[in-house]
Amino acid sequence: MSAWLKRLAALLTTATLMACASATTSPGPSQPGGDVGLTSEQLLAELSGKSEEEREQHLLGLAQEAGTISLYADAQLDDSAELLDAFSEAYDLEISIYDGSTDSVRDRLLQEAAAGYRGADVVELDALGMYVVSEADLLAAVETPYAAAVGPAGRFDDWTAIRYSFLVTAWNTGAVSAGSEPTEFRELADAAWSGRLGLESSDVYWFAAIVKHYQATEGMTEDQAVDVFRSIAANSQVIDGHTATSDFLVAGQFDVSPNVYAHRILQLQEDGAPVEWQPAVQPVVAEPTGIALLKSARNPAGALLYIDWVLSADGGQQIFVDQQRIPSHVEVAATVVGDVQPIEAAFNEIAAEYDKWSTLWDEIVRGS
Amino acid sequence: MTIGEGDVAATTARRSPADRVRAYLGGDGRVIERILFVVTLVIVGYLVLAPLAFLVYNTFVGPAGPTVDAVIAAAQADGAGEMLVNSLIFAAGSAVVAMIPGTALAYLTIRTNAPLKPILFAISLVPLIIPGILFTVAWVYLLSGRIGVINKALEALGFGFLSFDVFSMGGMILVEGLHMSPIVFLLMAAAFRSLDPSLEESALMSGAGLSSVIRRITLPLVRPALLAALLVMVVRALEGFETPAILGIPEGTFVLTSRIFLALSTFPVRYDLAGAYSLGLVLITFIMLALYRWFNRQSERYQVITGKGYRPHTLELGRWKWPIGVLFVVYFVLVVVSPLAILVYMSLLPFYTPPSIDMLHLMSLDNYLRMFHLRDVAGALRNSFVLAISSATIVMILMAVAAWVVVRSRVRFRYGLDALSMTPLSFPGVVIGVALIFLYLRFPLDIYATLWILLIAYVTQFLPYGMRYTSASMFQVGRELEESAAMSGAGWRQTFQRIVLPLIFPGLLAGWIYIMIVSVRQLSSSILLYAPGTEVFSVLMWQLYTDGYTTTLAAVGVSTVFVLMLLAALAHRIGSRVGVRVA
Repeated sequence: MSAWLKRLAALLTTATLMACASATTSPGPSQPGGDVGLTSEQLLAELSGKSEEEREQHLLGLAQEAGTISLYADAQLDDSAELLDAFSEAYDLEISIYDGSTDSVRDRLLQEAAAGYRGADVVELDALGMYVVSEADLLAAVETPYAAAVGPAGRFDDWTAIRYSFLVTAWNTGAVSAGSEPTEFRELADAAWSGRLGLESSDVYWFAAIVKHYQATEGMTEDQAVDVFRSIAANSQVIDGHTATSDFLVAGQFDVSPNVYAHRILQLQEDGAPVEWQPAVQPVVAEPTGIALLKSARNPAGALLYIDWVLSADGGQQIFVDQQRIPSHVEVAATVVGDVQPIEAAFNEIAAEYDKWSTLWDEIVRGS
Repeated sequence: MTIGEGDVAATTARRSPADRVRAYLGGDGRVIERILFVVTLVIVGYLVLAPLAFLVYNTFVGPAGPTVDAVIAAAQADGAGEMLVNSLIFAAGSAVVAMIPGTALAYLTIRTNAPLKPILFAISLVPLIIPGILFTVAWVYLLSGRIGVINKALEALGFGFLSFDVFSMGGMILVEGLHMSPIVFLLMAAAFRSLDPSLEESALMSGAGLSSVIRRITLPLVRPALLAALLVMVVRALEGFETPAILGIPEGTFVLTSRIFLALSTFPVRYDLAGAYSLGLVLITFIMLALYRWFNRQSERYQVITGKGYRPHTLELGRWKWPIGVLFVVYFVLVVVSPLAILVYMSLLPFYTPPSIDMLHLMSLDNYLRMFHLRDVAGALRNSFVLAISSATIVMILMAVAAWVVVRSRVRFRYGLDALSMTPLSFPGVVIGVALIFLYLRFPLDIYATLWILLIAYVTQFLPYGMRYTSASMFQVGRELEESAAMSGAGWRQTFQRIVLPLIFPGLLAGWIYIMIVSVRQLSSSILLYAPGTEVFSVLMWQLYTDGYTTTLAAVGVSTVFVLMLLAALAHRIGSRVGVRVA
C-alpha cells in the first residue's frame, strides 16, 4: 500500500513540476491563428487611399502570410457553413468559426479581452450583442468601400450590418382565410383575435422599436403604445423561442403570430407549409446582424478580406439571397423582400435604454 | 546555549506544520481514511470552488465593495413570490411523477420475473436520451388542447372529457417527471440488484402479501437510494427551465429559474442576480442534504450485502405476471412509444403538421440525409464520445472513493465533502462556463480552447450524480466484508478494489450510463467552452434547433435513441455479469 502511495506522490510531484515549468515558459493558453505583427489600426491606416483592387491584393498577400482567420459568430449552422466554404474557395484561405449564441459570443469576447487573449479576428453578432462589444471598445472602426451599398440604418461607427432579420406577422393559411388576414399590427389587439395569437417572448428590441414608431408617427403616448402590446399579449399564448413559435404556427397551435422571422416563413413556404406573411402587416421591424474587426485581431488582413467579401453584392450578399435571408445590400435585398419597408428604428437609443425596455416587456409577457 | 524547560514547553505548544500533519494522520490507525479525505477534498474543492467563488464574488461584491443588494433585489423582484410557489409545486410534483414509474419499473425489471424484461432496461432510458426540447415539443404535439394527437383521438372516440391540455402546471409536471424518471430507474435498479431476497422471502413465508412486503421490507431497505433519487429530482426540477418555458409560459405560469435566465440574457449581464438565485438553490440543496443524512442516520440498517452468502434471485409474480405485463405495455405505449412515434413522424417531414393523408406525399428521408452533411458532424461526434466516456469514468471513480470516505470513514468534516460534491447541482451551466473561462484564460497550462476545459466542466457538473449513485450503493454494503478482508491482511487498496468496487458495481455502472448519456446532451456550458476543433454534438443539435430545423433534429434524436439504446443495452449486459449476479 505504501508503495502505491509513494507512486501517487511521485506522480503528483511530477505533475506540479511540469505545471510550474510550463508556467515559466508560456504566459497563458496558446492563441489561435497566425500573426504578421500588424495591428488592426496600423493595417487600416495602410489601406487608406488604395483602390478597391489594390486593397484586395494587399489584404490577400498579408492574409496568406498570416494563415487561418478566426471568426466568432452567432450565425447558424447551414448559413455559416455555406458562407465560409464559399469564402475559402474564393481566396484559398482557411477560416475557422466559433459559432455560439449571442450571449455566449458576447461573454467570450468580453472575458478574452479582459485576460488579454486574442481569440477572434472578426465577429458577427446581432445588433444588441454588437452594441455591448462596441461599448467595451473592442472593435476597430473599419472603412470599407462596400459599406456604401448598405443603407444608413445598417452603418455604425465600428460595425456594419451584413443582413437583416425581419420580424413580421405571419398566419396559418389553413386557419385564416384569404381576405380576413390582419393588415395592421394594432388590429391584433382586438378581442376578435383572443386565443388565436402566439407571441414570441424575447423580442425586446422589436417591442421598443414599434412603441417608438407609434409615438413618432401616430402621435400616441408611450403608455398608449405599450397598452397595444398588453392587449395583444392578453390575446396570445406566449411562446419561448422563435423556432417553437413558427413550428407551432405551422402545426396549427395558434392562427397568427405577430413576431416571427420572415426568412423562416419563406423557407417553410418553400417546403410547402401553409403559412403566409405578405402583404406585410405594418409595421415591420428589421434587426440587423453586423460584422466587425476586432482591435486585437492577430490576422486583421484576413478578417478585413472576409468583411469586404461578405458585404460584396456577388460574394456573401448573394449567398444570403440563396438562403432566403435578407441581405443588407439595399439593391440585393429588394430581390428577396420586394418593396416591404421596415420602420426606421433608433437602434443605439433603444440599446442604451435596454434595461427599461426589457423590464417593461417582462411585465407585459407575464401579464402583470 | 542551553535548552531550558520553557523552550520545551514552547515547542510542544507550537508544533511545526509537519508535526501537525503527522499527528493528524497517525495515532489511531486511520491514516488512509484521512489521506483519502484530503485528496478527494482537494480535487473536488478545486473543481467546485472556482464556479462557487465566481458566484459568491459576483453576488456579494459590487463596484463599491461588499453588498447584499443583489439578494434584496432577487427577493423583491416582481412576482418572485408567486414564482417561488410555482417552482415548489413544479419540483414536488415532477419528483413524485418521476419516482413512481421509475421505482416501479426498476423493481419489476430487477426483482421479479415480469415478462419482456430484456428490452425494458434499454427502453426505460429513452426519455433520458431524447434531447429535452424535442421531448417537450413531442408532448405538445401529443397533448396540446388544440392540436394534440391523443386529445384528438379521445374526442373522435367519444372520450373528449378525458382530454388534457399539456400547456398547464399538470402538463409541466407530467413531462418533466417522465423526462427525469430514468434517473430514478437507474438509481433504484442498482439498489434493488443488491437486495438480499431472503428478507422478502421470509416475510412472504410468514404470510405477508406482496404489497405489504414491498411496503414494509423492500422499500425501507432501499431508503438511501430512494431519498437520493428524491433529492436529485427536487433540486433538478427547481433549476429546470426548458419544460416550464415551453409549457408554462403560454398559460402564464412562470417559475423562479425564468428570473435566472432573464438575468443572464439581459445586458449588462446581471451575474449578481443570477448568483443570488443560484445560491438560494445551493442553500435548498444543503438543507435537503441535511435531511437526507438525518433519515439515513442508522446506516447499518441498509446494509443488505453482508458476509452471509446469498444468491439474489427473482420474485415469482404468479398470477400477477400478465396483468403487470399489460401495465408495462400500456406505460411504454404512452410514455415511450408515443413521443418516439411523433419524433419518427416529424423526422420524415419538412415541417410538422398533425398527421393526415395529405402529409404522405411530403414524407422523405431528407432529414436523415441532411444529418450527414452537417458541418463537423464527425468531429463533434468523436469529441462528444471522448468526453462522455472520460467524464463518466472520472466522476464515478473519484466519487466512489469520496462516497467511501463519506459513508464509511469517521473522518471529521466528511459530510463537508458530500455537501461540496452536491453544490454543482444548483449551478447554472452558464455560470460554470464563464467561471472556467475566467480561470483558464489566466492559467499557466494550455487548457482554454482545448477538450480539457470541457472535460473539467463536465466532471464538475456531474459530480453530484456520481456522489448520489455511489453513496446510495455504499450504504448497502456491510462493513464486515471490508473488516474480514483487512483481517486477512489485505491493504486498503486491495480491499477497495476487490471487495468494495465489485459490490457497488451496479451503482457505479448505473451512474456511469447516466452521466455518459447526459454529457452528450450537455449544452449550457459546452456552448461557451467549445472552440474550433473541439465542437461537440449538443452544440450542433442546438444550432439545428435555433436555425428552425426541428424535423432534422427529430431525425438526429431518433438516430441517437437507437444508437444509445444499443450502447446502454450492451453496458447492461456486461454489467449483469459483474458484481452481484441476478440468478
